[in-house]
Amino acid sequence: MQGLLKLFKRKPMLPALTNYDPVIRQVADPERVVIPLDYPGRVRYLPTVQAGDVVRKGQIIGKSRIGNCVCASISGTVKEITTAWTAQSYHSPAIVIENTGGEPMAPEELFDAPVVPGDLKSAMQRLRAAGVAPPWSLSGREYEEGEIPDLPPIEAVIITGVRQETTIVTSQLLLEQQADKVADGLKRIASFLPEARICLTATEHQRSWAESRFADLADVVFLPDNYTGRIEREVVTKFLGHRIPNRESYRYHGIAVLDVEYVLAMVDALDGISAFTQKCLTISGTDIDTAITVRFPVGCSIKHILDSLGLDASNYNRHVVGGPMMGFAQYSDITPLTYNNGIYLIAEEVAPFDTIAPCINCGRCARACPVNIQVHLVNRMIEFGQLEAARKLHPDACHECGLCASVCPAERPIVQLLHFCNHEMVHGERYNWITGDNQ
Amino acid sequence: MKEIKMFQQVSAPEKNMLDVAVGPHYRLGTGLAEIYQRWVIALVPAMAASLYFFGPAALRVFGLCIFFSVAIDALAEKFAPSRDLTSNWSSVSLALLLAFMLPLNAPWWMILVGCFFMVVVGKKFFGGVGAYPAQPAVLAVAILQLSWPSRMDNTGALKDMDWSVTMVEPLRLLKSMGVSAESHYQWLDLLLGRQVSGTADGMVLFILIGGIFLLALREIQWQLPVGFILGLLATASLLYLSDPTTFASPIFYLLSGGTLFMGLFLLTDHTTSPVNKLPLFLYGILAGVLLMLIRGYSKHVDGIVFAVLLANLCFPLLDMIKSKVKGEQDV
Repeated sequence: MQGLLKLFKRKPMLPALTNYDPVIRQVADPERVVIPLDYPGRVRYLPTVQAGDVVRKGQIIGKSRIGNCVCASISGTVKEITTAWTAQSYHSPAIVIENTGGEPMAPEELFDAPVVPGDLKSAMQRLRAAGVAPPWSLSGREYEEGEIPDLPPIEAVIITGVRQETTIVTSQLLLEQQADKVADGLKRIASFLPEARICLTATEHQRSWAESRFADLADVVFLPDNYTGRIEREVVTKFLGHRIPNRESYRYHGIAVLDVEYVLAMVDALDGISAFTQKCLTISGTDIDTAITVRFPVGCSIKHILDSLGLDASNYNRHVVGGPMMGFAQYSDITPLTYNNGIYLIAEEVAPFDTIAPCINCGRCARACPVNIQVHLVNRMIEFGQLEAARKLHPDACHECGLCASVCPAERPIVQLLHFCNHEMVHGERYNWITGDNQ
Repeated sequence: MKEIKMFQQVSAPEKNMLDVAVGPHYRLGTGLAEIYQRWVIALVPAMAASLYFFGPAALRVFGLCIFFSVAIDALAEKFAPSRDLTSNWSSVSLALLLAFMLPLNAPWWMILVGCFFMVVVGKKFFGGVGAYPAQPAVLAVAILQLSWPSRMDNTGALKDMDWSVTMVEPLRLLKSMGVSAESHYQWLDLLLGRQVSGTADGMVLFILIGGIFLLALREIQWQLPVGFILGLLATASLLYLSDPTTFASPIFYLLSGGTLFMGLFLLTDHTTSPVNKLPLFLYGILAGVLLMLIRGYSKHVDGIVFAVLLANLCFPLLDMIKSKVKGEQDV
């Protein structure tokens, strides 16, 4: 009978976050943290401490070649320098710190004095020392790969007060609760980059106060509640008026996209208050009635965060770091969390995807696609190896937002097929995007 | 069956292991069966009307069709495994579509042959559901109509029924008697299904209810039926204006025979209809025009079958009309 009723019902397009707790809770320091050395900004860091060293919260434990730093997020002893799987599922060198107690670094130990306004050079140094890599500098990996590209000056800074995943509310909570600090941060960005356009995104609900609060500091863009209207690349395109190719980073086009949380960390660092050791994250899920936002020490595990909230990790058989659309399901609940914004917990059995279901050309994917890719054609072409034919339909415009696969009645792995095609186009043996290179 | 083995699922993991699936982790889809079950539900009103009018005779056609086509589908899956599983209900939905178009007195062997052509030739030969180039049920009916024209005779099938209307198919009457045939059928009779047609394809009002159900669930798009009706009415009006002595009024063409059944259920078959809005609309118009031309200028009486087959041929071309991919200049 229930199955029959299901046939008449239309499920909501996206998991709506109907209810969330506006209070950001503090997670206590865990027994140990694992800090992957690709954080933040995916720069490679070299450890500046050794196993056995005693470190204090806020102390620099890793440095990149251009001076970006990683800070210890708890006080304790460095247990080992090893490797760890990050939540994005790749291997990264990591520093393990055991919590043996100790005072955190006082601000005056970390920083000498507040940065003089207008002194860009010392401000950059301060940001780097506080573990907040300035986005308008080189990210660092370019150095390691031996090429220093000619980067254009920053023309636009886009501050995302809304995360694209609908189940993540960290940015909008911080924007509401620390509006003065955000405004301060916007002023500072404007003083560093006087030529740049500054844009702040906010939700439709915040329109009345956000417009009066930030209108003179930035162009405020209001985003709807649905995921389709929040996809970051589409929002950036709408603001800029032109499109940045998917495979290229914003930096090469003179754009910086920062989160509100980052702006707050920047203000803290410039004022000499604290280094960047904590991060916010929203916990939601299929049977969690009220989504909870927490502030946790960087590098603590999923299990620690869930335990401290009284949630039993073993009740959920899928732990997705990120949101339900683009998040990564974790194989272990001791994965350290770093620059992640959300955990989405799934309790019931959800089929991953149907391995053999054929496409019946119903066209839901193509209607859902935010960039108008003819997904119903492309996915079958890729499935049957006709990559050259698929290429003519521009699968490279895909943001991998997951909308096509989430509406597919046959539960086909459409995002994975498109990803495979794009990967094969760029790195494959037979095909290459560059003409004349097909051997 | 090497390829099939590759697709076999690994056994379920132990209870306390985390599920490492790829995203998206929120899916609306629950399998193909749900889609085809919706189609079956949409056909229920017309089936009920048919059972009310014809009783056990209609039940025999529906039952035989479903039994043969599911059995043939299961056998085909056994001897030639494919990804088109019997459990996806597509054979049931197709069987009902076939049954709707068969005459009430179709002999069991003709239903068997029809189901064989529908499932094996129309569907499985091309790779199962999602891969066929022409609507299989329509293909089967076309084969039956060309092979046994005398057996596919709706007028003969219903000659024992005692209705207030003339017991000849409205369109056949129109062909033989000219425009005066229109006076034998009230529009209300046509709408309520009191007309001579296949087992259930003439139940206009009940077909419409099912179609609105599918439209409400966004299972089919409104552009196709609307385009179809517009194309049909426009062509019929032109013909009517050019020669009122030969052609009936456009509404008569809209309500008689399986016209709405074709627009709402045969053309809209997912696999053989385009996806984007403009192609859907054009596809509908094309089918409407074709249907009217066949009805007006060929010896076939109803012609929905051939109009659908001809329109199906154009669908891959129409599907190439697409809006610009945002960001396509990147390449």
